[in-house]
Amino acid sequence: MQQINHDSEERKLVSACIRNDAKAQRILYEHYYKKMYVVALRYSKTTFEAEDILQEAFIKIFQNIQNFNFDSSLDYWIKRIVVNTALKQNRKILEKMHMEDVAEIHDEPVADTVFATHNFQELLKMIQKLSTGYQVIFNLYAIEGYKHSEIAEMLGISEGTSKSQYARAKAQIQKMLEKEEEKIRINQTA
Amino acid sequence: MKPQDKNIEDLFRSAFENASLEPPRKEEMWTHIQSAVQKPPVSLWRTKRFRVSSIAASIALLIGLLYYSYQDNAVSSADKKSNESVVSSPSVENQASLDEQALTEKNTLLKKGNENELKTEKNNKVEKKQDFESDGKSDRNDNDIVLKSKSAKSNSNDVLKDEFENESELSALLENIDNPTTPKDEKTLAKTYLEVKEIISIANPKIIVPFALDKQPVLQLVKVAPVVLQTDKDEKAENEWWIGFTGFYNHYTPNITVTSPDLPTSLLKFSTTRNFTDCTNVAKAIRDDIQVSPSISVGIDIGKLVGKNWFFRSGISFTNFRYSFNSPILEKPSASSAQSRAIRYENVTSNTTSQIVIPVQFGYQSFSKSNLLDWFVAGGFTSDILLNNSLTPTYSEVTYDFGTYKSLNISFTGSAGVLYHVTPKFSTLLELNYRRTTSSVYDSPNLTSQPHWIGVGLGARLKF
Repeated sequence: MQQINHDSEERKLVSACIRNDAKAQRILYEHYYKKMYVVALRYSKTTFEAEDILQEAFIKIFQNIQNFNFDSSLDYWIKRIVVNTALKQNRKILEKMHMEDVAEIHDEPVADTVFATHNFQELLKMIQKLSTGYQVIFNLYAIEGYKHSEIAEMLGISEGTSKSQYARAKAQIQKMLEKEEEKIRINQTA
Repeated sequence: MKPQDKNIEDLFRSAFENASLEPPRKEEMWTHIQSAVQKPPVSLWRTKRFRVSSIAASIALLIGLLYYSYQDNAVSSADKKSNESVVSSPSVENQASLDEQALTEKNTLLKKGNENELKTEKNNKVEKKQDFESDGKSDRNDNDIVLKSKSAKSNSNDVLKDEFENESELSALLENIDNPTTPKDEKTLAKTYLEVKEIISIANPKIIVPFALDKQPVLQLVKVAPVVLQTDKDEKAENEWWIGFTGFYNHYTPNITVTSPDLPTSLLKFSTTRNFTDCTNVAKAIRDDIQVSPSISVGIDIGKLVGKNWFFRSGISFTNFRYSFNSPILEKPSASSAQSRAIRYENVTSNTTSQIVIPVQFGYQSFSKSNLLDWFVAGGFTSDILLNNSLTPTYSEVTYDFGTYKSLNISFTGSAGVLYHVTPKFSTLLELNYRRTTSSVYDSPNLTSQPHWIGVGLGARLKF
């Protein structure tokens, strides 16, 4: 796989993609598809869904690459498109999400437990077990690093709802992690 | 606490920072991306404005051609009438010559029964025949061209048969008629001896037209006959355009070939509102288990005769067709639901298409002597313009990706049929038609479809 090492090379590649050069598009695809596939998997339940998201995202990337003006890294720009595509795919579900008013929620505060390192595939399975709404908010906050105010704007919900949904998602993830670590402890003692 | 222990956010962030995985269908995805991104330039025909303008221009052109042809025929008729008036009018211009001829010409009229009543008016005098060719075949001395009354037969040969009692004379004359040796300019000569309307009257004895008399000798019937026959052709040319209406009942075959792998299929997507999966092979269902509904098309047909038996035709019609297939899906129980086992749902998907079809065909039509039944065959192409195509599954959580149905498709077409002439200008028809697209109607990496239709149609035509 051809590496994209320097800014100048990146600029040349982007320029070639703007000209609809198939070879340049292939190089870009080869460089980013594996990483972006994992991003897509985090927002979906099955490999089919993830592939659909990835495919749709790359089409948008090539159709809109002329709008990329190097004010951010290409990596970040591509990832944003993948995430937005995933959100669009899940939009119908997100619209139907039962968004309760934060005043009515009496969530238990979640202890900030520390956990041993797990590989990403185990963690991916945990994320995919969450319901779609929790899955999206958990990804946006815990992994992408968005603030609750930004998430609220992206999803068209209140900040309080975002916090509440995240708290519940985190609690579920925590339980799954504790279960997983219990299994590891049992196996180790056995 | 171990150094590597982290809180949840740190744990997930660091785990996914450089995470990568190989998707199972990397190359297939690339093919789809390329086909979407590297699309050929949009053809003008894909734009609605161009399509509407083209159809409007074609209709305007057709109307223009029809109007031009009508004008042309009107001029020809006017010319014919003026020619008739140039040729001596029996009642006015030749009155003087009539009187003169009355003394020198011998008028003999043959009478055959009640059907052959003679006109005894002053204008209806028979001219003397004269040989123009001394070929020995037609050296009649009799001065006879008989004017038939309304009840006489219309066929010119039958007219001749009525006149000759001598079979051998008749045979000789008929042979000459079938193989006329008359040079072209004799046609002109014939016209100088007989008015056009007189010639018509021999071919159509229902029309009674007085004869002109002049000093010129009479032509033999054998010389007149080719002119008479020519008049038949002229009459046919007057009805060389037609406009008609036809309705077809078609058997439609989608003829789908799935080109992508059966499993996992690229044809099917699920939304995640419910936990559906494909529990059967949808590609197989599409390929082997399609249920087709009958297709109906109705339209207008316009045609023109070109030459003796050949014709050109076009028109416009509306066609609607539909097929469906059942590809059951499975709903797996989700963690939060009370459902304990997977449930299978029958999922019938229907594909409905409507289009405008504009044919262009060339064909051959018989013209029988009976003028009652004729047959025709034709072949050509159609432009199939898409109006609407929709793929509708039972469950909205399921979507199928067949690709884009092309706005314009070209098809081969062949027809054969029978015409029943109710009147000389109005006919009904029964037609068999076959139509097949020349290429796939879908722009898709997953499947191709080259449908064909076999139809039976009933219609009517008006000639003008």
